[in-house]
Amino acid sequence: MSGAPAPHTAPAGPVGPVAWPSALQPKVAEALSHYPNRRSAVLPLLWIAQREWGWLPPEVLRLVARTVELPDAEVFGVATFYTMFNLKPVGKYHLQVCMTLSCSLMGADRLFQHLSGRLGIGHGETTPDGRFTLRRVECLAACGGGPCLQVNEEKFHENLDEAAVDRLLERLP
Amino acid sequence: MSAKVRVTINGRTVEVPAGTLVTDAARAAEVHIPVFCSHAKLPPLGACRICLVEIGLPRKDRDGKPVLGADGGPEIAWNPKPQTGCTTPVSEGMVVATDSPVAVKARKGTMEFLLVNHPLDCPVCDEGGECQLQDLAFAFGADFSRMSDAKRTFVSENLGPVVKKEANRCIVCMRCVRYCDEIMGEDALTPHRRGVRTEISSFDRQPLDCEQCGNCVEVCPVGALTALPYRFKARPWDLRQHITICPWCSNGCSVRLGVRGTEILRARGTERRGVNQEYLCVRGRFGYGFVNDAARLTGALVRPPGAAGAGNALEPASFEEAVAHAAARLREIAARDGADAIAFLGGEKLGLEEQYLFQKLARAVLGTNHVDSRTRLVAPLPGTAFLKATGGGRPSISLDELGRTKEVLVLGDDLQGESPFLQAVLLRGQHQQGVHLTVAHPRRVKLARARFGGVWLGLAPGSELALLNGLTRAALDLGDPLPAPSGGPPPAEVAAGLPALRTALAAWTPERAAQATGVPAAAIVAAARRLREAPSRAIVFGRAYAEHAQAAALLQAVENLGWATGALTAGRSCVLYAGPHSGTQGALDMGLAPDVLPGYVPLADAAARAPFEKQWNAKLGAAPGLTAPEILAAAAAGRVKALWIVGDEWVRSAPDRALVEQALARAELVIVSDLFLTETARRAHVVFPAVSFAEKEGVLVDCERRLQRTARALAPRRGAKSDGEIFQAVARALGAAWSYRTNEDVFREIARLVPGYEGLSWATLLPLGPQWASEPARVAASLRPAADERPAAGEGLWLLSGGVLFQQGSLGHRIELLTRLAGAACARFHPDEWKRLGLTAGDAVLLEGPGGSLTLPVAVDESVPPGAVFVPYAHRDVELNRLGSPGGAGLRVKASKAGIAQRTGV
Amino acid sequence: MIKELATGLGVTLGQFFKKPVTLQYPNEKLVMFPRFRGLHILARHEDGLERCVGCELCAVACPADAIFVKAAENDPDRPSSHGERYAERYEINMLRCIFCGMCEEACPEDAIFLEKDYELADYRREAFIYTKDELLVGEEKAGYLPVR
Repeated sequence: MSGAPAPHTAPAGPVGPVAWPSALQPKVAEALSHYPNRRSAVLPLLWIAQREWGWLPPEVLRLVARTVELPDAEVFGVATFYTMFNLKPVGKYHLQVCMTLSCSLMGADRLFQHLSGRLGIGHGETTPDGRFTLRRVECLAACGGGPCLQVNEEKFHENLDEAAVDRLLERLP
Repeated sequence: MSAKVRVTINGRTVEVPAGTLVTDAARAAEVHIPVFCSHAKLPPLGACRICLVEIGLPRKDRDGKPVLGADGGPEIAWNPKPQTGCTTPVSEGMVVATDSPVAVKARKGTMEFLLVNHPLDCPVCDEGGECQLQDLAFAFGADFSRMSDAKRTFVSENLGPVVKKEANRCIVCMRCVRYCDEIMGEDALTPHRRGVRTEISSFDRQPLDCEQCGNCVEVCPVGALTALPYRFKARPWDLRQHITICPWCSNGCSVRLGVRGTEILRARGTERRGVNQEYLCVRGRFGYGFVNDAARLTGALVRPPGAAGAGNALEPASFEEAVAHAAARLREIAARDGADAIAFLGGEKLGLEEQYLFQKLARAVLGTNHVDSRTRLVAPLPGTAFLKATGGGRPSISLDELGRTKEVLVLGDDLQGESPFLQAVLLRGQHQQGVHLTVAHPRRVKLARARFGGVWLGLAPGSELALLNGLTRAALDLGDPLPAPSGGPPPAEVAAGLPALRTALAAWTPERAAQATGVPAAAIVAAARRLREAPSRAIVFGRAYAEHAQAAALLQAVENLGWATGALTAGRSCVLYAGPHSGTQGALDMGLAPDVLPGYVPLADAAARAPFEKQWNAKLGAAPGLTAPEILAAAAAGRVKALWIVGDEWVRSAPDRALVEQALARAELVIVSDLFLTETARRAHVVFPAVSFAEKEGVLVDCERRLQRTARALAPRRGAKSDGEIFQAVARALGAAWSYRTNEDVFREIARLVPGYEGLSWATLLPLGPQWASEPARVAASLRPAADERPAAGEGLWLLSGGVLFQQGSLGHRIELLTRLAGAACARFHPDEWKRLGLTAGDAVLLEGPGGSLTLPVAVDESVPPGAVFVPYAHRDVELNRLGSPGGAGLRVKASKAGIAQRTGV
Repeated sequence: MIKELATGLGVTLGQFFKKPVTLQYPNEKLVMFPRFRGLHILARHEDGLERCVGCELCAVACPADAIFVKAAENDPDRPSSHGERYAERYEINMLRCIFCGMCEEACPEDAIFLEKDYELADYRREAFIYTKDELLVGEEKAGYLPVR
């Protein structure tokens, strides 16, 4: 594993109060409309915010707190409770390697070591060019196709080995 | 109310109300069940699992009849798993075992889990020696650990200037988080992450942006949160603990002082004792430093007679010399100009006994009725005004019951700054008991925040009277004043005044009130309806009304509203005056007002006066003396020639700075007794060194009229005398035959003489004294139109002032932590006003009032209404009385940009 | 009778040739046993930092109430001890001390020991209050722990 954590070049968080971009406001209103009280919308709003800003800087958490009328600290607690909210900037491609039983038996550890060696980053770190963030995660519910890897929120890649991962990395734009 | 059930715990059967939790029932059965997460003021959670006990219920057959065992008793169906005692309510016939093998094993297992990651650093932990985890590990745990892996570690953090966090020690009981949320209403703490990595911290690990009360430290059962000001100062066994009453406001919280040698090292709450039960605000918890301040006066000072002038400085003198000098000068002035040339001021920070002696010295020894404790008054008020507005001394409710009333109207005060405990009572009530809050305040203060679910009546500054009249009219539209729940009608005076009041209020339709106050008419009507129709209700007011230029009319209006809504009549309701100081209520009770004797006995009533004349062996003047504002004017005009000011920084507290300077300069004799050489003391002719709250014992009366004993935690500072000793020494030098050995002697005299205090003794005041009450009322009620048509003085912005949490009075300036927390005093403007004045951050503003001007740094604050400026009054650098005395409905000032910020004041 | 006298003188003469049990104090000094309990020392770690962390367990264990400790927080740049806490003041009143060794037993850091120094007489009462300067071993004895 590489030594010092790589400095990330991903965008730093906004400074000073932020507001919902106007394009997002219908989404925010819709999320709020699903529940009888505002505080229930905290998770959907955190998701909307994470998709918009890529991660959840403190100012964005304050924005969510203002929107759902919860104390700032409580929203911060919620965001840290769930591991899929990023409280630090992540790279363009967020590689999440499943480490739970099926994948582990099929060589997830080896796969992670390979990725780590190739990218020069460890768990939770980002490459200096801001392209990749590597993370071990718990079960991705693709146990039939282990070892498996998820890129960002959308893409699953199953039945991987070192060669397949290398091909995958090269394919990413 | 609720039915009783019988429950057997470790073979002891007790009867407790249904719904009691097993842990509380065990306390009744004198069985100890350990707890960490459970807290008397917080709802059950069941987070720590240390209270696991084995619970069984009587086995029932198909018909619901208990199955009898071989011994004829009911057969017990034990739950196969241990259950948490702190979340399980008892039921009829329940059997609980805390010493069965299952319970013992469960407890031991839980303890092992709690200790898996707990560091073994008790020797350097400030909690060590009073740590519940330490005690229980000693009692229940194993003496070795089976865990060989490395413990998980966190980085320790300073969460602001008060709280030190060492998360390694945390057992995640959530007490701090819940206390902060439910009682403080701050929500500053939150758990981060989850599982074994759970860590309590603030938003983004920023320094806590909260009231800095330190209650999270207090409720922490381990050493995860410790107080930075007490860090490594002492171990618990070093400290002598003395429980006394906090001197910082009128709420009367019990505070436990920890003393090592001659120094107070910390102050803590007292679990399950006092009105506050563990709660303390930042002032009470960290505001004891002045007691050990090196600048305390250690001897009397006398200005040599004769050579009046600037070069004539105060010189140290022995106590006896100072007493002799003061007595001689008082006698001389009384002989030459009559006793009416002498006035006594202050005393709101004294104990009850000293207050009694102060006015006795004035009235019985010197023969003057110019006695007033209410130095901040802007307009004259009778001594009975506050008692009358709060029901005349009829039985009232306690602060604890106040937290269970259904509707509370807070008038004019920002309780966060004036009465922090009262605010905590209301917030807890809101959170746990469904109290609905209505806050009438020009600024959106903390209690009025949306998340507390209340209603904010954001009235325009200066329209307080209009709002009260509007509310009263709306309440009377709903019917006559309510009868008491016991069936008794409201007092006859109320019924008698009703028609006239209705006529006078006919003009105060909701629409007119809305026009005058800026509060929507519907909100006024709804607030009146809520107050009148709630099963219980309370009205709270404080110094904002007391120190208002229209105070007399406002207090009458509060009383009208109290009768109209039933706050003064109905059970479980009250009108509460939360005064500014620990002795405010006591001073009023002890007749530190020009027109009443102790117990609100009117001076003019010869028959009522007689017992006092007999006891005091003196002829008392029947004519009322001057009130504080009148004394101020008379002294400035040279009519009052001698002043005795006790425990009061009159230079700051009097409403008009120019006038008070003039009064002190013109007076021939100014005697000051205080802890420090204050600005007022510097202008005195005789200065007596007084002792602090921690160095004397006596009685204090809090805002709910509860009498509480204070205790002596320290020997008096060398050279300092208690105020009682000072008064007695001067009285004896003036020829009076006073021979009180202790304050208890004085209290015996009070209990013998003062109506309302009959039959009380020091022994009856521990641990928690009674709230004194008097039936029939000490002061007759009245319903009377309240009006004051004087216009506000000056033009321009309304000056809004108020207390801030981190400063109160001149003693607060002596405490480094509070001064630092309070930060710089700023004139605060609404963004609109900010823009209009063309201000930018870092600017200063010049405020010009009728009496003078002030220059202050500026800040923008959305809670301040447009057309007003908010300036907190308690900061050292802000001497608001330099702006002059408010007239009419308040003070108006002209504001203009004054370049860059600089410190002002002295 | 002569015989008895001779026997007695024989014993006396015999003593002349035995090793004396007394010492010519103060020219000669007694070597104390390893577990003798005399004046306390405060030990240092190998790196020269004080072992004492100011926990006051010695003070609370002391049956004679002879020990006074006032702790303070280390300056992280110039620490006095390992960790955050150290003893700012450490005083033992040797007039009260009964040399029971409970402080040594209570110490979780192996910081205090009753050493061999037994010459504790002085002319002034104040001199019996041993301060931290007097108790703390010199830098040259860093890492020294008495044999027990």
